[in-house]
Amino acid sequence: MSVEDGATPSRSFRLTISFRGMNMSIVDRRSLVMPAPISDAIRGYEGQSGFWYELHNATGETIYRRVMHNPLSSHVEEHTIEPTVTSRRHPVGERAGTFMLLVPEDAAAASLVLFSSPPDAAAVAQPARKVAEFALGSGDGTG
Amino acid sequence: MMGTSDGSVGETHKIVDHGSDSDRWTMVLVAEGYQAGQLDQFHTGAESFMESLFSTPPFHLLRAAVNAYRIDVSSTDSGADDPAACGGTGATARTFFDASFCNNGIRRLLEVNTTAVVDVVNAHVAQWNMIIVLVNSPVYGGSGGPVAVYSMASGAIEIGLHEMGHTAFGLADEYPCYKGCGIDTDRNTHPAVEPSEPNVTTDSNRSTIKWGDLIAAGTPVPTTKNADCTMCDPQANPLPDSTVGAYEGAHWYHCGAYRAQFTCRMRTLGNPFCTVCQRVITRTLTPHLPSSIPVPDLTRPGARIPKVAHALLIQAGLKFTDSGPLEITQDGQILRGSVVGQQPVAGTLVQVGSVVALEIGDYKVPGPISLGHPH
Repeated sequence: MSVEDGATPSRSFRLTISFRGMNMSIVDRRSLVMPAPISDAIRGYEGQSGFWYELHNATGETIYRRVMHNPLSSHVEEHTIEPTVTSRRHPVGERAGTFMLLVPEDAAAASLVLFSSPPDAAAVAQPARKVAEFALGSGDGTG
Repeated sequence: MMGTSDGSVGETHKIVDHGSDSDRWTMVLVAEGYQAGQLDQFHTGAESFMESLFSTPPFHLLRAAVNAYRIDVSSTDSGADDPAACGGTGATARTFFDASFCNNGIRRLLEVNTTAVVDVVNAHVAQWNMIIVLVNSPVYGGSGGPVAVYSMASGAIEIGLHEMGHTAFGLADEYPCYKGCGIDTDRNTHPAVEPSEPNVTTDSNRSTIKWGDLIAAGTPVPTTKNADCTMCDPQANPLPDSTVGAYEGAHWYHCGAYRAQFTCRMRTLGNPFCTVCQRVITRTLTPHLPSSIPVPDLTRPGARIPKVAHALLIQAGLKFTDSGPLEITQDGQILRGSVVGQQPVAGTLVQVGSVVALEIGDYKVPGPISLGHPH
């Protein structure tokens, strides 16, 4: 559905999440007339590594899932001018900052759940686990 | 050093306009370290980035899905901090977003005040999908995260493209080391845990690997093996660059993790995105294509399909395989392939550089396309 169709436009929330280490809170939420990214598969990620976020309905069923580059990583990427290996990683310890998520405005969405592998360099390929859950509507969460 | 008191936010210009931001995938390019009298250079840099992007597969087929803005932010001083502690000049520059090299003591790590950048963009282009900051420095560097950052040094534009792969499309790094080949001692074998990212895997089984539909029947899987897992695999690519398979050495490990092609922009800067990464990008941007582009009626013999409909076909989950009813003409001959779940259509094989592509009507599916032998 699009504005130019004359159809009801897609709406999304842009959620800004502040973090220090694995402690997170939603610090800003904006309702926007724009589509969220299409959902990744909502099954089959169990036991995988990385970072993704999910929308759950009131019964805890996953209704949206999106994989993203891990914003909590305690290591950073440096791009060098060496001709063969142009990029490498550096561990930098616990990080703090913000990241943004774009999620569809869905009346059935009751909570936002974040999954992450451990952020430290030695464990980045370990399975992700639930690291935060936010009841949508309150902005409060548990990390 | 300093911050948002060291400059001002000027005008916002839409430099690529394909319709409403409510529908398109919208990029915002932000100036940092440009004095007011230097903003013409930022305009040129922004245009250069968009030209590079639109010449980069698959963006070259998805141009109609993209809008872009530039925001003219001027700074008191030109450039970025370049601390001597990392071998820099020791220069400090009073800039709006506090751009600095040498973050965490890392020479090329050029970062900005991300929160300030996002605040400015939210105030001027609310419906953004990707933010890129162009830093007016001749020193090579950049960074990723919520926004991508790169300097004006030669080749640094590649940092912006690579970081877009992470931030906008969730792509993993494909390089086979962490701190560097010959340096790592703890990156021999990837844990037996499947990465969630779409472009790396621990699965070397042809029938279950997540990009298996792109691997030709004649391609060995795994395609390359690293003979010494204490180091990066030194072997050259034994197959044509376009071959999709399972190449060992990826996701920061020498062994036990695989990438889809020998090289990719997510492995080594300066290369194209591999076929798997291109597919991920295409799936993300397809919903933003103008809806006035007709969805092709594949049940109509000889249907002509607009070029941009390629993305719609991929979005619809169509796969091109080596058996079935799709009839493809090449030099007057009929080959057979299939568009899974669809009725026969006519198409032509064409050579695009070193890659064979499928052309149906006036649209092309970039290769490699798996096709069977003529029946």
